[in-house]
Amino acid sequence: MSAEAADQQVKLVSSDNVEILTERKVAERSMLIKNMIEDLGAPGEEPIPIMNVSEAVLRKVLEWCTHHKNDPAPTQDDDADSRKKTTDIDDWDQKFMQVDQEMLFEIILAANYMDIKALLDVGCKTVANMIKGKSPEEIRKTFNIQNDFTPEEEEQIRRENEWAEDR
Amino acid sequence: MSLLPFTNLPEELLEIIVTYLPPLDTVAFGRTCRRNNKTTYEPLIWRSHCVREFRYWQPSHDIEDRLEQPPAQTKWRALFVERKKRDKEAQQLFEALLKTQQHRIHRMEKVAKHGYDVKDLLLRERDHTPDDAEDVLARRYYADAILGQIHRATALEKWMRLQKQQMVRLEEVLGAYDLFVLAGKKGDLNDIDRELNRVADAIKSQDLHFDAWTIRDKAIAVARWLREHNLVGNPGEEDYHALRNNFISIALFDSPHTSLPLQSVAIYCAISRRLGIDARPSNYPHHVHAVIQTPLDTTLDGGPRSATRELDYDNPADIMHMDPWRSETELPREALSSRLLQMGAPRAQHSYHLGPSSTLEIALRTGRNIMNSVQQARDLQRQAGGDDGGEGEGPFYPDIDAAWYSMLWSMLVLGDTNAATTLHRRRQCLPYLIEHYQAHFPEDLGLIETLVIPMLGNEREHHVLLHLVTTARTGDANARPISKRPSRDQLRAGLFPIPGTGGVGCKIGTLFRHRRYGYEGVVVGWDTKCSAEPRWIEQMGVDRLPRGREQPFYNVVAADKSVRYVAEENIEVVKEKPSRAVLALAGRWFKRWDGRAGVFVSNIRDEYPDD
Repeated sequence: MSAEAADQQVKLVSSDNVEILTERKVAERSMLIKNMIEDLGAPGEEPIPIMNVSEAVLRKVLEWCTHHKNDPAPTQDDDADSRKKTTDIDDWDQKFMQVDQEMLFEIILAANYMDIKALLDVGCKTVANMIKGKSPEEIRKTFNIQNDFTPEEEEQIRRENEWAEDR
Repeated sequence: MSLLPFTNLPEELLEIIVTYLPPLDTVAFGRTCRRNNKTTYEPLIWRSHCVREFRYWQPSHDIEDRLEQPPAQTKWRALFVERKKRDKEAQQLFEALLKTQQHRIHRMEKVAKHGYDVKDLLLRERDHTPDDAEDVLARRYYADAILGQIHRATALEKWMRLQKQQMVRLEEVLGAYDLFVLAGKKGDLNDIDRELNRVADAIKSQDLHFDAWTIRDKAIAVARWLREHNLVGNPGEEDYHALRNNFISIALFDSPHTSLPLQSVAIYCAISRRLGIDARPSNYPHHVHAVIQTPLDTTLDGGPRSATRELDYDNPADIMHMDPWRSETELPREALSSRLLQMGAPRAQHSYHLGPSSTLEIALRTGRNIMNSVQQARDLQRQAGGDDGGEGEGPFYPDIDAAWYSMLWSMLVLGDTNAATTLHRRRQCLPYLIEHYQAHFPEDLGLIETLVIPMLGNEREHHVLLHLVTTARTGDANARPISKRPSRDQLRAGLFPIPGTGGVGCKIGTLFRHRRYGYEGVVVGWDTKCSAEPRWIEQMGVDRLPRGREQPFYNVVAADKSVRYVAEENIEVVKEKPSRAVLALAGRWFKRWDGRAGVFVSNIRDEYPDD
């Protein structure tokens, strides 16, 4: 990308039809947008529709992209084992993720839809950290999950996982 | 809440979240609802838990192959659970064997039986038990001892294969010696295999057309690479016979990577074979070369060759020699021959000396080299006059007794080319082996039972050993006889021949210096008077001691690991911190060093309840 292209502005349109102007470099943290711009060929002119993401969420996502606009490009190393499995999250991202649960899941869904892998990982790690160290009942409470097991199923699962007791 | 955001997350995102959960949290998550439960059964998740949680696996799991296959072909979750259960079982046995001497050997054997499936657990106990743990020394000592058992069983299995003329690779037969001295360091057979593969790949990747090179060019390229990367040879030729130079893994993994010619050539040959070169160690006297043979259908230079023509040891197109220990160039046959003549080897024997040796012969040669090196190391230790022998890791790695023990086992198992000399050799080394086993490796009882006894057929030694094993088994199964300290009343009534009312002055765990010989030791047992046999009493001149035989006598272990019997008057109690050598062996009897009291805390209270 030339210096000029980097400074370029692009126009995004949220699902609730709000136009947001942003730097091309910021927007291209999203592989979805990057590919669309490349396909369209005339960036800056055509507004880019981000169909599944509302204005509030899109602004939040762009805030993240702005902070991370100079991060090195993600490597292709996506093997299940080699992927770093620490749930460490840097301070800025941690603060950024201090939102209500609904927004947290909206960000994750948006990151997935817009193909921003690093943001998706931060979101998933945040959820994982909310699960860690809790009992099944505590997890259900945290995320408002309905227990739909029959007593028989529950008993069977308990037996299968006896090895994991006394943590 | 009308909307349940969590339930709205698509399957694939749930899976990503679960990959960030440790195993126990994954299980807890799965117990929340049906959908989440299903997510936690994704094979990739458990494959990754298996890989991250367990570095070592028994060969029967074929773990390397499984990792290559699509994840769904392996029941990764079941495998993970199996390993966890095994860990739990082994952990319980381990805790039990730390607590009492009764059944200890039996329990150690039960843990060791799981082999590499418990290696992670044992390494954790050995290397990550906190310094302030209540039984830190015992924990580390027994974890290390069981690891040793597992490694030795693996080593002996390889040698037994060789002895039965089954397929076993040169580097495995040599690496088996390393398994005796490893003590949890990097360098077991898998590590060696991986490293040799890595080096072979690196050599190959130097040139896109490496495969098209002639054998001769490849053979020289291997030597050059190994020498450039300092993996073979001994540049200064200093410490030629240093004990470390006998071990192939130390040459590969431990700076400065020096080795004897035999180990250098073995590394060279193992890597050459991985690159399609038939290279084997030679039978040369006082040195070892690599003998490279043509694959019969082409010459070493890639020329045509009739495959039916027999190998001609005088034809340089069929055979070449390398000395990777010393150089990266090919050795001309004439130079090797004239050197042989100088050494007085008749011409008729040259093709033998220049030809390839058998793996068995190389293994035995390594045993003999270790014997020399051990003797030299012991002399050095004696000259240093020290229990500690030097700075840093020097005195401990490789451990002299462990190396000696490896040599004894190899001599016993590998035998010789014919039955008569085999029996002779076995008879020669058996007493040393038994002595060493009893003194340092009592946990090897099962190996003596299952490997040594059957080797002795109907010989006299067979019955002696059988008796020895039975006695040891009974000893292990029974509680130790209890030695209670004489009470004040008993002493006053004169029931014990101890002058005054002091009783037995030192307790189990007392650190001392021998008043006359100066060595450092620690008390591991006592008698109220000298209970040795009359002959020993006479030989040692016990009655010439000022207090004679009627004084407490102590079973002690010295810093050099020897077990001795010492009169109380020769015990000079010291309170300062014990040497590293003593700390390393103390775990066999003690829980920890109590710095404030200046004594070891006893772990043999089942035998000495008052100490």
